[in-house]
Parts: sequence; structure tokens; C-alpha cells
Amino acid sequence: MATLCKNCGHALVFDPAIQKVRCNQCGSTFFAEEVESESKKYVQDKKALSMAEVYGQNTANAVKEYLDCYIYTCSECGGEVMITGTEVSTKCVYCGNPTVVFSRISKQECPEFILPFAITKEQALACINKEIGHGLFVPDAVKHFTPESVHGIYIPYWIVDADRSEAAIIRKKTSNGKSSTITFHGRSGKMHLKNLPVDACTMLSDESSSRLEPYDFSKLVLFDEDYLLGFYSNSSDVTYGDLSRAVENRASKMFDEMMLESVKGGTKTIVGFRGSTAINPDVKYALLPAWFVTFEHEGKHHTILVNGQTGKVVCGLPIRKALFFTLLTITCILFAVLFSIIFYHIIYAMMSSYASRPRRHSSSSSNNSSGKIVVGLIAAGVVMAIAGVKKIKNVLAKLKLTQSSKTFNFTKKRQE
Amino acid sequence: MTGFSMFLGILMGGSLGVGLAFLIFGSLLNRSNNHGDSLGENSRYTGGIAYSARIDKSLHKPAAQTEFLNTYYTPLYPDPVFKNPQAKVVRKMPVPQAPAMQANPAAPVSPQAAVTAAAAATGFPSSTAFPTAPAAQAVQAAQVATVQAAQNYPTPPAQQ
Repeated sequence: MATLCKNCGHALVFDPAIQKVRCNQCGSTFFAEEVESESKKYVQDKKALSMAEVYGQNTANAVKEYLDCYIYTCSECGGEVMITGTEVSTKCVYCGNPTVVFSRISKQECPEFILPFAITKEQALACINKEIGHGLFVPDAVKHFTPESVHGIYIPYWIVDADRSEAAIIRKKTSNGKSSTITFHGRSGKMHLKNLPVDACTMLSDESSSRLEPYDFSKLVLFDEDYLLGFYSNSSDVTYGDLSRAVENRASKMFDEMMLESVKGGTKTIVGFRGSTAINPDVKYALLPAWFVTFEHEGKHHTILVNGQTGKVVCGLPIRKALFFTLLTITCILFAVLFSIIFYHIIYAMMSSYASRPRRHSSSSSNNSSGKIVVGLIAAGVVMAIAGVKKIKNVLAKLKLTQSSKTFNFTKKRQE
Repeated sequence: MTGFSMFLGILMGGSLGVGLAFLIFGSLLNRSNNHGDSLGENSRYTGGIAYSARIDKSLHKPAAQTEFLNTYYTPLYPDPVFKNPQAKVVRKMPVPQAPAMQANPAAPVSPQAAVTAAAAATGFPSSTAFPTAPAAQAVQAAQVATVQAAQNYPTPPAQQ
């Protein structure tokens, strides 16, 4: 349902730049909390109908993909707006007016808080251009991409307080020249987590949403429907099981990181643990803002996420493979030749001086230390190569996430 | 001697050169093509671990390790609401106004007392970063708290 301007009757939209709802027709602005509209009251009874209700059960059975779709009749033009099972606000495909489907928000599903958009669409695109514009291995077509769609979406989150209790055994390996020492350390304790955001939308992957953090919760305001005007939003569809698993994973990861930090030096791994997490049932429900920008490159859809409050850009971008692998190969050869020449001369000089010296009994210890240097340098090379390959694999994993059809469908299947 | 020196030089120089090149280009690629690859910092959500035991010796034997885990682990039990993993997560709504409230309205409360009681009733300490409800809701919550106290309704645990 569109909230209308009391001065001219045109539809209002929320403007992040001024943090007010604005009428694009007459330019009037209002605070979201102040907007009173008759339409808000009567629409409480207006329901979005399922496809089966509108077109009969057979249609729903025949077209499986529409099973989770609902029909909402636009109050402005009477057009039928199709929405998915969890959508709360959208735009009318015919008249373009912002639409908030109030009937979807039952009292218990209605968010308690909302973090209004602070970044406008133009600012979000500027953030992306600034971030990816200087990438050495980003294709030019991606640097100057034309967005297919730019959607401002409020993502539902549960903000939880939780406690984690854990006892663990940490194995520490300390290498000391010839030998290495292994020690075991016991740690146990409790940790309290406060205001941990957990994505409440199964349509969006947790990995994508968690990378949008951090959000500044001090800017949260009490929920008002008018903040949704002009933006898309979904309602929570996660279960207590989903929430428990997400909090457990995050809490145990945090706990383990901090516990490993408490043991100084060496290479550390947790070899045994017992732990549990208890979530405070008084979870807070909030809508947090994000811009979803999609573009197509080489036949694949990519979705860049931008934190709607801070402007943090989250994406893995396509790689200029030819340039990357050419430069990598040339550098490998150059470095290998350069280091080989340097080491050849060092080794030759060492061996010459060794050959010219009179033989002594202590020569075996000198041989040993030279051998260690050789092995150490080779090992250092292998370790650096592994670290480099890990970084490349990480970029490829994030690129895959940007190309994820799940994220693309989350943003694309909405009324334009 | 020259051949052996060359062999060692190529072995060491090759591995170090290739390794260094991979590390440099891996870092460059990560910087160029991967953006926003970070979660919120731990310190944003927690004040750290309150350790109940830290043992750095005599844990070499598996039996000692098992004993440590059994002795020092304090289990936490989930709230009953989490025992139904298939149920959809919903907001915890304020306790509805009791019918007795209509017949015997509570004594008038001062605005300050109302806010304090509302904070206690909703479990939100005044220092929380979350916005507080409008004054009217605070007064209503205070009245609910009064009824709860009178009828021994369970009150939600205060936030730490």
C-alpha cells in the first residue's frame, strides 16, 4: 500500500539523504514517524492472496514455481502485484508506486527496529566505482559496468544475546632449530555475546549477509512502515533450529579464536573440546539495509552488495586471467633466475673457500648447518607458494559467491 | 663443483622465486578483486572470555585431557523455546494487560518510576543502544509490571 502525500496525493518514498519521506511530485518532506494515513488503517484487513486462491488449486499445482507466490492488488491502479512468500514491501509493476503489504506483517512478525538507509542509490554506485575502479586485475568491462538492476532491500535480522561455555585442549608445536616441542594447554571459560546479528532470511546465504557487517546499532529506530517506502523488504522465515545453528557456529568460532590467542607462540590447534551455547530467548527483530547491484559479465550474473548504512562494498570480481597468469609466469621466471644466480654465486663461493681450507674434524657440523639453510630456503619457498595459492583460491571462492544464483534470485525476482 | 653449485642454486632460487611470486601476486589479486572480505570484529560483540581454568602443564596424557574437559566444562542449557527447532522464530511480545487491570487500575505512577519499571519489565537496561519505547508505552509497561508483581507473573531475565 502506498502512503500518499497529504498535500498532493502522490505516493511518498523514503529518501536516505534527508532521512525523511519525500513526495517526488510536490517536494514535500515528512518524518516517517509523523506520517498518518487513512490507508494504513483500512489496509490492515486487506490480504495478499495466494496464487491458488486467485486462480484455483490446479494452477498452483501445475506451475510449481508459483506455489510460493501471492497476489497483492495495488490500491493505486488496481494492478496485480506478484510477491514471494516473505516479501513485505515492493513496487507496483504497473504504476511504480511503492507498496507495503501490511497484511504480511502480523504482530509477532512485525520488526521491532529498523536501521533506515543512510546511503542513497547514487552513493552506493559511487562506493562501488571507487572500490573497484583501481583494481589491477579487474576487467575494464567490469570497472565501467552498467548495472542491470539496483535494489535497496531491508534484510531481516535477529539480534541475539547469547552465552558460550567451553573447555578445550590446545596442542602447541614449537619448532626450535633441530627439534620441535609439542605441549598441551587446557582452557575453559564463558563468554557473553551481545547484539550479535543473525540473518533471518533463508533466501540469502549467511556468508553473504555476514560480510555486510558491521552495522552501527546505535542508529536503530523503532519500526515504522514508512521507512520501507521505495525499498524492498522481506520478513523472517528462519526457524529456532536455523537460529541456534547460526549462533552456535559464530560463537564457537569466536571463542576458539580468542582461546588460541591466549596461548602464546608456536602453531596451535584445538584437539578436543566440549562446548554449548545458550541463546537469550528475548531476541530482537530488526530490518537492516543493503543495496544489491547486479550486472552481467560474459554471460554470468554478478551481484555486488553494499551496506546501506556504511557503504561497505562486498564482492569478488572476475579476473583478467590472461594478464594475471602472464605477469605471474614472467615474475616467477624472473625471480627464479635472479635468486638462482644469487644462490649459485653464494654456494660456489662457500664451496671454494671450503675446498681451499685444510680439513678439520669439525667439518661435519658446518655441512649440517649448510644443509639446514638449503632445506630452510626451499621450505620457505613452498610455504610462500602455498600462502599465495590460498589467497588466489579465496578470491575465486568470493567470485563464486558474487556469481551465486541464490543471491541473484533474491534480488532479481522482484517487481521493478 | 660448478655443476653441484648450479643445481643447488637453481633448487633454492627456483623454489624461493616461485614461492615469492605466488605470494606477491596472490596478495595483489586479493587486494584488487576481493572486497569487503571481513566479518564484524569479535570485540564488537563480546568483552572476551572469562576463564575458569588455564592449565599449561601435565596435559600430555589423553586421560588427563579427558579429565580436564569433564571437570572444567560447565554445560549451558537452551531455553525451552529452542527445543522446537522446526518452529519459526517470533518476537517475544510484551505480557498482555491482565483483565484485573481494567477493574482495579494500579495507583498512578510517576513518569521516572514508570520508565524505570518499564525498563525492568522489558529487560532493557537504560544503557542499551536500542531506542526506548515512547513514554505512553513506558507507562503502560509499568502498569503491566505492577500487575505482574501483584499476580506473581514471571518477569523476563534482565540483560547482562
